[in-house]
Amino acid sequence: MDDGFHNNMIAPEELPAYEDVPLLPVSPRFAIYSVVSQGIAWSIIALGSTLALIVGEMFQGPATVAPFAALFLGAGFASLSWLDARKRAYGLREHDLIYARGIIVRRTVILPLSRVQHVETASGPLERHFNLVRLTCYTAGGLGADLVIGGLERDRAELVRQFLLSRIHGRDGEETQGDSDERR
Amino acid sequence: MSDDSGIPLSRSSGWRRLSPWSVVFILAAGIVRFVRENIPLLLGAGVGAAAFERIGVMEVALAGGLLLAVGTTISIIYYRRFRFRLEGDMLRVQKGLIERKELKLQAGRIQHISFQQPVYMRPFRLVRFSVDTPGSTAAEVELPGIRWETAEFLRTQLQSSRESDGRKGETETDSAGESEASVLFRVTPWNLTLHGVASNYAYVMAAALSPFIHRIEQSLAERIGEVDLWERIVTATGSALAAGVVLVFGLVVLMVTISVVVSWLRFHGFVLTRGNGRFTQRSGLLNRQEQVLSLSKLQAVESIQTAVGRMIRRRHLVCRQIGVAAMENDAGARTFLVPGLTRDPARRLSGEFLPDVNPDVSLRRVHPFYRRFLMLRFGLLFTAVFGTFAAAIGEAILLAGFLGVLLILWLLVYQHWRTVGWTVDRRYAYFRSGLFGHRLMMFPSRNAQRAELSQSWFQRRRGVATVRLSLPSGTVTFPFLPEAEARFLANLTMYRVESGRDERGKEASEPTSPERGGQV
Repeated sequence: MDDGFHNNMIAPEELPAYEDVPLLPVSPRFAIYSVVSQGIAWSIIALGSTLALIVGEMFQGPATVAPFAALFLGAGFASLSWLDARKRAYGLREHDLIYARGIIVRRTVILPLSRVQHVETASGPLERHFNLVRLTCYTAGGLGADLVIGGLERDRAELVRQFLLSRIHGRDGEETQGDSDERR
Repeated sequence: MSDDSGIPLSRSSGWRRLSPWSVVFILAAGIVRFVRENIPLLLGAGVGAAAFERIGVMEVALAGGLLLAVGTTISIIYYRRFRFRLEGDMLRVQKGLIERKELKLQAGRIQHISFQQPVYMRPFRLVRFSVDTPGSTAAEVELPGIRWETAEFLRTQLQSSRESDGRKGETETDSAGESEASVLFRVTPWNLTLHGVASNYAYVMAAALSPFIHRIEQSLAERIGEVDLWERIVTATGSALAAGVVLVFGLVVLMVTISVVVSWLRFHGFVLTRGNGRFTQRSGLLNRQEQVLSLSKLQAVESIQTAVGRMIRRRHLVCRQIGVAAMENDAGARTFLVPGLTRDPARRLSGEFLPDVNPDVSLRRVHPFYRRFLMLRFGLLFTAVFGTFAAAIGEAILLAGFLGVLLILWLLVYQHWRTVGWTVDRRYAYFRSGLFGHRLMMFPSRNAQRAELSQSWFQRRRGVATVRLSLPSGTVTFPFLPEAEARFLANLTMYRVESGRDERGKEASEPTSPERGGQV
């Protein structure tokens, strides 16, 4: 009986491989944004420790190193952020969204579009200055965001969001159609 | 508005109050919750009361009476403001002491309905009715004292509404025409006792109470005077060695006895039934409770054998549902656990929960670099703390002890590495972890929500990777797989999720891997 349902064997080497997908880098502005963001955070720490030294009249001893240590650490973290931002990339396939990040620990996340329940975009004042947006995807059952793609340009983020939303809205109908196709 | 005291509830009845007896139950539940959440505070207060002579029995009784009066008043107000009604497929609840709240729960959102009947509720045929939804971290709706018949009616109505609401997942895997619940498993008293012996309730409790043991000991010493227990045991047994053996043996017997008692209290009369796409378990000696597990909400099954359990060949199954990851610390109240199983019943029940699953599937070990990584992590930490201390003191015995502990650490890490294993078959993914005990997680690959492949600098150099598969019930981590296998696992899982297909029709137990040239 041919009911249209097929269940052919697939060899492991024929599986769709995420590692073969050429990923798109996030916006080049994201690297600058990351450095500025780290710079601001560590400058506040350096300034705060300097003020504490002045108020406490501690002009000698090991405590005087604190502002310089903060600046040194800030420079280190800013460099790491720069490198990390240059390594971030994403890929949108028919059925999933891939996001790779990290320099010391390299992580690649694959999120099936069929599992995405909700998508949102957000941007802080500094991100808005650089025309950058964060895209956040949520799945069912998760307590927090399942995937956050930072450093997308506003127009591109909107395109990706619209694509994801269209998949979410069309999913129920698609599944129903798929079911009936399989039964036919 | 009527009290829930015998008038049957209809599908669209008016507002209804809890049974008047529920005031007692609300108060009792409140006291139990207060004690459970404030053990350190109460112990501290107890020690304080014992330490200050000015605080006598009268003061303690007065404080207790005042607290009881406040608790009773709050319980009566809570009862007066609590009302519920069934509106078609929706359960509405209004409650609140200061702030008025209204909850509306649609039948379609329900994951799990449970009844609890503490021993003091039994003469009144009252139950505590709880409803959970996916993703919630506590019971979404709780009716803390309604008649058993009302609870049965509510459950039947809500479940039938859910099924007629187009959410027929529950009936998908049910056999046609099945309406009567069939008994799948009953625990025998012997197996229940062995479950207690194998379980670790007492050790967990002992660990939780250990910070307060010194305080309790001090308080007792002040009350009844110093008692040198050790001296007495040494005198009675004749030598320090025999006294040590007796003390350790006594402690172990005490722990095991507590575990067995807890096991009997929790699982006495355990019966697991299946009907209409649901599994139902009833158990409890003093607190009789009923839990329902919907097949459509089941995400994974874990087969757990503690170290003692492996010796006495007993294990238990834990069914993981959507959102349970968030409630791991919820006193186990919502864990669907099947206790006291031997190998064959465990295999049979696993197959009932997850058709064609094979708990005896042969597993692949993770890469040996995993044990080197663990040894580096723990060894360095231990060396930093203890090695520095031993070197500073310079005593040879300390250095020898340090090396001895490092050796034991290595043996433990090696044992853990031997236990960790994984595989995928034509439908399911398996992951086992543990040290001397075993925890085998089994889940359909297509339940995954997300896959993550991570590689540290160390792992990239060695060609290994860690895969994390997120399920709605929690994340399963497959550490240190050879890179090709890690990619295979991620790609296969995504293929199964995205295509919505697995090889159900084919033999499920044959492991599939790229190295073995398996077909998926």
